[in-house]
Amino acid sequence: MKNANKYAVTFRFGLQHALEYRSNFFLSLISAFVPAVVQYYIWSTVYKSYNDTTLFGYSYEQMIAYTILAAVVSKLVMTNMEHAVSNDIKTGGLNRYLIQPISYFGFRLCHYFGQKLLYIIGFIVIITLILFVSPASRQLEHEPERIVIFILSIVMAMIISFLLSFAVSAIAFWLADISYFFVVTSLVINVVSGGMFPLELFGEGFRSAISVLPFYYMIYWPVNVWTGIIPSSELWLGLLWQLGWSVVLGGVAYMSWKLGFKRYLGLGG
Amino acid sequence: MMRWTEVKRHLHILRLFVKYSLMSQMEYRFNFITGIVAEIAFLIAKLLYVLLVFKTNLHIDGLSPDVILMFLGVHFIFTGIYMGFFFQNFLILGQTIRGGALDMMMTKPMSLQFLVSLRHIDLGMAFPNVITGIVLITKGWNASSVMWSWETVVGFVVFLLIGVILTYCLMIIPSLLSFWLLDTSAAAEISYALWDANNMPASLYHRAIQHIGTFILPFFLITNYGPLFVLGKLSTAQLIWALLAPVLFFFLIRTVWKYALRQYNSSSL
Amino acid sequence: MEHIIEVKQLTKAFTYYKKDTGIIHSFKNLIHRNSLTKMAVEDVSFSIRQGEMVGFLGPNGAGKSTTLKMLSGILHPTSGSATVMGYTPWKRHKDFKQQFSIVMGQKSQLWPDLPAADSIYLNKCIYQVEQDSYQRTLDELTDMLGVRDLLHVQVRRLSLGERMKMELIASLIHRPKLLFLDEPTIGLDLLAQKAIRQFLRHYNEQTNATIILTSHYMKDIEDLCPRVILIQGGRITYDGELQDVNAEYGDKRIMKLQFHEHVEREILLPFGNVLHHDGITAVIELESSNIADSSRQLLELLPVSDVLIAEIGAEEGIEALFQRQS
Repeated sequence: MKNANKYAVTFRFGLQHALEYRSNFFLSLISAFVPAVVQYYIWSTVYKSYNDTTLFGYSYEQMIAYTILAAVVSKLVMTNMEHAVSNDIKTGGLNRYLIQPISYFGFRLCHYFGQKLLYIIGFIVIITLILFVSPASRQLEHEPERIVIFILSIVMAMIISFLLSFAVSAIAFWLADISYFFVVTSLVINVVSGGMFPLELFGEGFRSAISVLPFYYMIYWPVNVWTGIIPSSELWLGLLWQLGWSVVLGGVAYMSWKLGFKRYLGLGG
Repeated sequence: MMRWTEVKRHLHILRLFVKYSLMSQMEYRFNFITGIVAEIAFLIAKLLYVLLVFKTNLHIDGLSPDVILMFLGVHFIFTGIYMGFFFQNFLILGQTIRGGALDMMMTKPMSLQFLVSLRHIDLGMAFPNVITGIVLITKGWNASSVMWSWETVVGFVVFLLIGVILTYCLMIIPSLLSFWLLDTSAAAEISYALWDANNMPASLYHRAIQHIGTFILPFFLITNYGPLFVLGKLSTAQLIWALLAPVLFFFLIRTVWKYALRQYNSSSL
Repeated sequence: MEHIIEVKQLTKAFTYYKKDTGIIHSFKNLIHRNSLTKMAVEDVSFSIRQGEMVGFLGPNGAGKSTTLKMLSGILHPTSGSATVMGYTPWKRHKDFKQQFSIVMGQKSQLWPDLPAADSIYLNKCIYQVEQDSYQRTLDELTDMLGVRDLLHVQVRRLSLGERMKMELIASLIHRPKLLFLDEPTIGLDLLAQKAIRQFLRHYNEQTNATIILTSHYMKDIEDLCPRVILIQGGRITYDGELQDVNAEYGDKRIMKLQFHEHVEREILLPFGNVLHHDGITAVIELESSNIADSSRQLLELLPVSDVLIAEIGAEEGIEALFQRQS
């Protein structure tokens, strides 16, 4: 009980951090939608000229839903914590967690979910507003099972993304200067996860190649559970893939941090 | 009245800034190179829009994909100029204001706005963008069936200069907010998002967006008017506005800057 | 002699926001923030003659730096007026900026990754110093400070003291008539502090430049400034010769006592002003005429193991002044 309390405090701390700069929070929500607006107009123009056929396997409504949802989900899923973690490693901030009875992993996890809580609320509002009210969504079918899996898949996507970030940030144990490294990794991860465009744009071969990797299940898959691109028969299978990848990434994160800590202590902290 | 000797003095100092920035960067060669690598990664991500335009055979208001390349190309050129000359300065301007480094600069017998705007110059960031931009513009221009002529080239260059002034005026706004706000990162985020979004012909968008992007936050003038001029699609009214806007906006920024300095409170009580 | 600085009823108020900790307040802050006003400088008036060296003294946040920043045109005052070399500083006239310099101990104008020579050269261009004059001044200053061979070493490789010397050269390259120094010796070792002090005195004698200085270190002020202005809570509480601070304490002595048993503060009160007391040691300020009687009584009545009687120095004098007025 006492232990859980500490994590609750960390969770609250993350939320507070997000609240601290009020204007920032609302504005950063807006900035997430700017690229979606550009793409909305591009797709609208394109579909008009094709007379409403499907493109890359997406109907117009599905494409618009994808564009909007991908913007939100990528904002929700991307942790952007690599810099903070590597900073902790470099400046010895990690030492605190070696002596305190709170694990660094737990601290980061709670901080992450706390920080994203506002986004989750905003996310629910946006989905109900845009996707249920707007005409773009009328033609999308949402059987209850699909909605449940969608919600589960978002949670799983957040976990996968967190574990991936946590594993990637362990590189700070070995590389000296990494200020730009994480900028590139998060950009690449976002693109190959489908955060910018649907993966079909890069060709069917690319999509199926990515489909066996964890990135596929971070943005592309949850979003397409909603749009209906993922057939009902594959819903549970995908969730299983997500579960599998979280276990694998959990293992990778655990191993890399174990090795990293060994090196960290070896260097004398 | 700006005298010629004053202009010459400022240009001389600007040359020193370029030289000193380069010398400083050479001290951190690894950082310099990884910075360029990161910039190229962003560039490639943005080039995905070229893929999108051609794969969907996007036509905007009668402009073919080839011609749209010109707009993208201009966007890249200005991204290079922005990244090379302004980005770093605007990024640290907030810190300069909050940390009190502005105090020292204020006592110098030079334009303070000049000192803080152009102190750090990063040509490494500029090159990949500018080169990509030139390639795209050349391709677009050749495909557009507009002949190369002295008049169009000179006119195009004039529009580039107008674009530089507007880039400066628009992108400095978030940094100017640091005079009043503690954290302006979200405002900066929005400005980056708008900047990245501004790579398409304006006629793609709804009329209201076109008007906002032309008259209130004239981003479209930066990327659209040069190519439109070359294509002979610029009306007289637009031409007049293009000449008026940079003067007007520079004056506005200048006024805000002076007002901010009047009530500047330095860093500590 | 003519006054180079004339300050009349200068006042500066700051507005700031109050934020309580805790999550409830974070939510509250989303809606509304409380604004508070602090008077950093209040109704300050003084004047300074060309060639004077004046020290601003006062505890942290007393308004020394704020006053200095108004005199150098960095801050606009809330009310009041100031004339510096005939200019109103906060109008930030170019000719005004051309004639003074400010050095702040905690803020650098040097490019950290380049040799100091480059930053100094940049200032030469900014202040439009002629080449001959530049070369002459540079030679003179580097010799005076003994840093000629360090000019071409990157600033970040220099020690703090060396860096401050370079800051001074960069600030003096245009031969300003007026120099503001805000904590110039902060964080420096004793040797470097001494070198900087020596240089400033020398520079003042040679060029007759007016120097205004704030410092935490009493020694800086004692060594350099015949005149001090004490600022407390945004107001001037003393303006005059440093020696005179002691005048009203001239007939007083400080007695430092050490006991071998615990002694209550109350027992000491009848003897004089208790400046310090922790049970085992105490410092008392008393009239010099009483010193013989008091010390005899103290030694008889109390378990004194050691006693030291001293005159009040400038440092103690000012400390006593601070204590009395706060």
